[in-house]
Amino acid sequence: MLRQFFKIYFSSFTLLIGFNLFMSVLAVLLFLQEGFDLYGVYLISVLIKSVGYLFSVAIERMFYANRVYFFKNLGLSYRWIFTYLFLLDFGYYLLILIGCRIIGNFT
Amino acid sequence: MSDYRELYLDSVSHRYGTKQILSSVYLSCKIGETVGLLGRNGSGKSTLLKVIFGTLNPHFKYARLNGKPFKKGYLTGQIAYLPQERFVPLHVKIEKLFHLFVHTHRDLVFSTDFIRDHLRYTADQLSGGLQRLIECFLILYSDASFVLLDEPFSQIAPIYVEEIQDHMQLLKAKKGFIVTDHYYERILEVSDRIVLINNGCNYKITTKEDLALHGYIPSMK
Repeated sequence: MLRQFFKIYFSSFTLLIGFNLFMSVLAVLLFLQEGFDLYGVYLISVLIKSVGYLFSVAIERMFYANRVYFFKNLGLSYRWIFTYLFLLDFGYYLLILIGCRIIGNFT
Repeated sequence: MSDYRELYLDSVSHRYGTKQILSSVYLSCKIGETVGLLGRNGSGKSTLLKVIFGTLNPHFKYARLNGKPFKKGYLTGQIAYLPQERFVPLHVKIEKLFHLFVHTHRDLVFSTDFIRDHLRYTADQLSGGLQRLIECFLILYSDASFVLLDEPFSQIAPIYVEEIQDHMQLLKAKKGFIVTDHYYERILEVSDRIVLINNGCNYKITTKEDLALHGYIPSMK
């Protein structure tokens, strides 16, 4: 099941994974620029990530609508696919952020 | 239990705007059975299949699979649907597609000459007809117990239509099929039971004369 899951993600959503990683890097750069103590930076980073997720859904709906039966025949709904995609992406984002903070404390 | 290993649908009603497409439609399909669904253009055949598969929410339906009510067919993992439009991604290799869709009958499908010859290609390297044929095999051999085929014979050469029919026969002991197409003679050949959708209602068809009676084919002289 897990293998199937990754096969589907990396064969069909490479572009979206890349795009959301790019948004994560943008958000992390903001933290590196402004520091980790400002409340507003957290809000802006959430906004950046949200825009990335909204764009991802919009791109899928606009350009890849014909894939809907491909995923549904595999027993997957878009809600399921995007929930896991975004959760994984947000997990990576937090890891990068925490990593940067820890490295920042040592320098 | 009478409804064991059965796809059962009752009281399906749906309208587009003010036009009533389906009105209390009933349909059932057991494992080992092929149900042919006929009807004029716009009669609601595809709508009914989408309702079963779960990509269309009707105004009302009652659906059971193996005795258990369900809302969306695709979430059960037991229902596969071949839509009229292309659904496979063009850049993925045919072999990879079969590895994603087919687990139980993989050896069987890979032993088919036509499939074996095209495993190394991607869908965009094939003609529209061959893409359709590959999609048809993906759905036929998927792990689902009930297979919904929406116009599987369109765009496909007669020789391959026969091949699809042969494979349906081969899999029939393990699966139930609901198939619709405008090549009604092909549907008559392959089906155990025919259901006609007309004016939003379903009719049991036993002879070709019944089809003429309901205005699906010209009157027989």
